Amino acid sequence: MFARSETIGDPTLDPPVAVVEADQPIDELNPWQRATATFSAMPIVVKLSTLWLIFIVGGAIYGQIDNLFGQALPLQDPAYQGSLFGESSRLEGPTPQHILGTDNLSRDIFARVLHGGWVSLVVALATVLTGIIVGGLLGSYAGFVKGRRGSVIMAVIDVILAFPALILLLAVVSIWENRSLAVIAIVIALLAIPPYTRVARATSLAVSQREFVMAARAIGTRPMSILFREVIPNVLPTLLAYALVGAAAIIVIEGSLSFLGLSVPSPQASWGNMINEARADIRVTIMPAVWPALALTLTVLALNQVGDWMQRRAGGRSSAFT
Amino acid sequence: MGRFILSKLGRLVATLFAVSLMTFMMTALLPGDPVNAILPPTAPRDEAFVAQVREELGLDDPLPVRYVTWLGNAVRGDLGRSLVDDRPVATTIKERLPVTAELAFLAVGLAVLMAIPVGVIGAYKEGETVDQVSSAGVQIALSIPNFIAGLFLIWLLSVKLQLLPATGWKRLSTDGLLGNLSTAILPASALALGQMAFFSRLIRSDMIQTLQEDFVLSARAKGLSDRYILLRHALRPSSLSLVTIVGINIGALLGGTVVIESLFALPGLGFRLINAIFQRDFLVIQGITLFVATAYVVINTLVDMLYLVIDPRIRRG
Repeated sequence: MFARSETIGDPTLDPPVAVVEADQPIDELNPWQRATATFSAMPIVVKLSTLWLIFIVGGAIYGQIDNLFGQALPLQDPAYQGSLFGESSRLEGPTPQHILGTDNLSRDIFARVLHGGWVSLVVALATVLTGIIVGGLLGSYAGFVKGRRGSVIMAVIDVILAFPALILLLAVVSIWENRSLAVIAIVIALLAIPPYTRVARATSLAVSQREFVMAARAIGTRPMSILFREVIPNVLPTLLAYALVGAAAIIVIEGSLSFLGLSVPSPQASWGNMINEARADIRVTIMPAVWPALALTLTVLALNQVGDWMQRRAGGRSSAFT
Repeated sequence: MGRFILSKLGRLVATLFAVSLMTFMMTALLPGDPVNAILPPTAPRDEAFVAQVREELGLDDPLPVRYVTWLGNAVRGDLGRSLVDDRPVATTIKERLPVTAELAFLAVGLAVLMAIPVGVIGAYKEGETVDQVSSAGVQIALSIPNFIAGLFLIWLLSVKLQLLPATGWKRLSTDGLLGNLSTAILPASALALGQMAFFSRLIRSDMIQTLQEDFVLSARAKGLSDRYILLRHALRPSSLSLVTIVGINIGALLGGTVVIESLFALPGLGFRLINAIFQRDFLVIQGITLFVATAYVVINTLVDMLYLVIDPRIRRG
């Protein structure tokens, strides 16, 4: 039956929507204790998602450390083509040596999936940092001062949002022939500022109406000091929760760009270009596409789960209407 | 109401103006001598030709003059010629638009058709096993990028089962409806999956709220059947949200057509755009970007105006 309809007219039966943990005692814990407390408060799916994200980030960093040591650590060289030296063949299935098999150039898929995570990680981190710092400042300011200066900022943001994101990204990326990871990360990060600005402004508008901001105004605190000491600290939690869901969207965008062959060039592995390279052999085997596709999808799924959970905790706006 | 429409139209014109300026700046900001960047690597490089292109594009004029000339031409439907195949960009767009438009409409249609039952049943059985399973499925569908969905659809239906062609496009006019659909259904489904998940999640949460309204309670008290209440009383207020969410997702849809057209080698705008990027054919990139962005802005404005028709409260507000 209508599951909730029995509670009409009896609000006491309606459970509170936002589950807010007791913040006070958590503040007294050290960071490690705080992290474990947060982790144990997670539902099982969110816990698994967090573990997966730790694995992907750890794997990506391990791959980079391996690069520093000239591939001396126990992980295959992601660019090594075994078939050239008679060691392995193209499109192998899983073997003890290549636990996920080999790709169309007989490179180790497991190593390439771990290294591919690095591209997603760098792009996502660049986006989140730029989004929170630049978008967060602009949006908090626009929501706090309102008036003409606020509308000028939002007008510029709206023009950027007037382009479909991927189309604008393609147009900008087409200008450079050099598509190193740094260039791609910077371009995507800059184009991702507008949504953060929107979220920050919406939150800042609401925060600016709260009593403590009114009180600060009443006792004559300088506006800039209110912005930085009262408004922005209260915008940040919502922005951080949005950052995870936003990072998931960005990883898909970078994946699309890689898949189109317009992101970091081969031989550097990214999940998108691995899937792209696996397309040609789809009539022989699809396995070289399955692993990066699984890594990409699970990472997006995990970021969404953790992000949604954090948004529920922060009681923030859902990303759909921002 | 008149004022509402006027202010929307004013905003539309201002946004289009800004969009055109940004698209123009794209080629204006090209590094080095713009002729070098604009001429694709395959174009002849002799002095006379370079001078002719420079003259044609007015590259020696100051930027504001170039912008006004360019915008004047664009408004009259002249977006320049491709420097690779020497065809007018506007003609290319006209030829390829029907493919992209059909793909987009088919995808939204499929997504809405699948999303309504999933969302309504999820709300009706909120918290029960059916809802938990469908919610989990929706979460997963939301996380699958469209090119991955497309690639696995090709693998399953074209390679393994050999039911449908993997790539290519048959036109409605020459190959009939069945021929056309046999090439359109796979790419449209790949695009629809994520949209479906997005729509059904919002329909579900919207519907859960509607089902708590008093008019639903009174309809039940009257003894109307659940099915009748769900479809006639509850779904209608949710249709406004449906318009909103379809509107919100058009940007993602247009971006998705680019990726999906490239994967399925469909002769639409998106595939041409990607080819142009590889050929460094900047006038085509600029033309398609301007066209798609303009269409996007206009569609958004139309969606805003559609609220007026659906929801009279906005008219008064």
